[in-house]
Amino acid sequence: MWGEAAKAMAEFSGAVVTAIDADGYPVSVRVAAPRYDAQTGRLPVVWPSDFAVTAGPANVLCHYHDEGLWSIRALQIKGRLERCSEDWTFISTDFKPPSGALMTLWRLAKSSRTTGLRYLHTRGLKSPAVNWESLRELRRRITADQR
Amino acid sequence: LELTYRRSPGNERGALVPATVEDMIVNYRTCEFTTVFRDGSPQTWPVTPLLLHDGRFLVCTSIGLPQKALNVRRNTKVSMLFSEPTGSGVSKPGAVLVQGDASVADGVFADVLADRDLAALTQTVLDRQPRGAMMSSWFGRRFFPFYYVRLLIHVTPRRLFSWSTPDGSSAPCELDPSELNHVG
Repeated sequence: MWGEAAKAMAEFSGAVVTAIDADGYPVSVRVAAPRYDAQTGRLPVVWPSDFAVTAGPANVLCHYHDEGLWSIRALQIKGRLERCSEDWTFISTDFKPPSGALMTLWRLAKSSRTTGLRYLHTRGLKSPAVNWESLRELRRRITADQR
Repeated sequence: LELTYRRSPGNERGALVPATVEDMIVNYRTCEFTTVFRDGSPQTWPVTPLLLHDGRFLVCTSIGLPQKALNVRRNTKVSMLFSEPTGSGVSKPGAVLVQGDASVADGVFADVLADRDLAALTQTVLDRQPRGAMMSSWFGRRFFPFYYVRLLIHVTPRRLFSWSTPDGSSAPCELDPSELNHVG
């Protein structure tokens, strides 16, 4: 399982590790060259002492977009942060291998429709009509700014 | 950490804003936005935020992907890491971490011009993501009917850190988050 995570992570230029600090706020650092162990699912993290990071739930996010904020890819690993003497280690607990782009889009279309309907239903709201003219107006402004 | 400084327009107290920090926050296409799930675990997504004139940030999500907003309603503590420079044009990319308190605006927004800041954020995204026009095409309306039914999340910064490189293993520089006022 972690071998697949390591292989997927290698396709990204870095990884963002997030944990919780002593005040309860999330705290993230980017690891530019992650040394993720494909056997154990462990990732060493050098955590600056400025952050009072705590052992506990954590995650890893790798993501990519191109210059036009497109071709978006992402990888998420759930886990926990543990301290071993002076060093911190992210320990993986769950990972879902990324699907192909089309399958991801299809699943997202299905789940976001269901979730959106549930969000409205739970709050007793009717499905609002999107004002498409407002979006056209914003596009006109962008075109005007670019001239 | 080498920082160059720029005086903020309208900043009467003369407080200085690090230009490199401002450039990263304003120009990076995404930040890694973290909210806290009900079990206490962090959940992190890449999002495009907008720095507002009063130093707060605006983040949007659709009602089809409301988990960020649901988390914030239970736990207001969030963070935003700006560490991905692709497409930003920033010549010496570093990283910026904002920790803050978030709130979710009442109601859902189906008209992007109904709120001035939502309009500015949507225009920023449309400008930076030309192929995102797909989401208002026949395809987008058919398969993602709630994409433009938005929830607004405002983040008030409490702590602000910066690094001179994207990698976060070195000691960061802590800055006064109130210096973000007038930048947006």
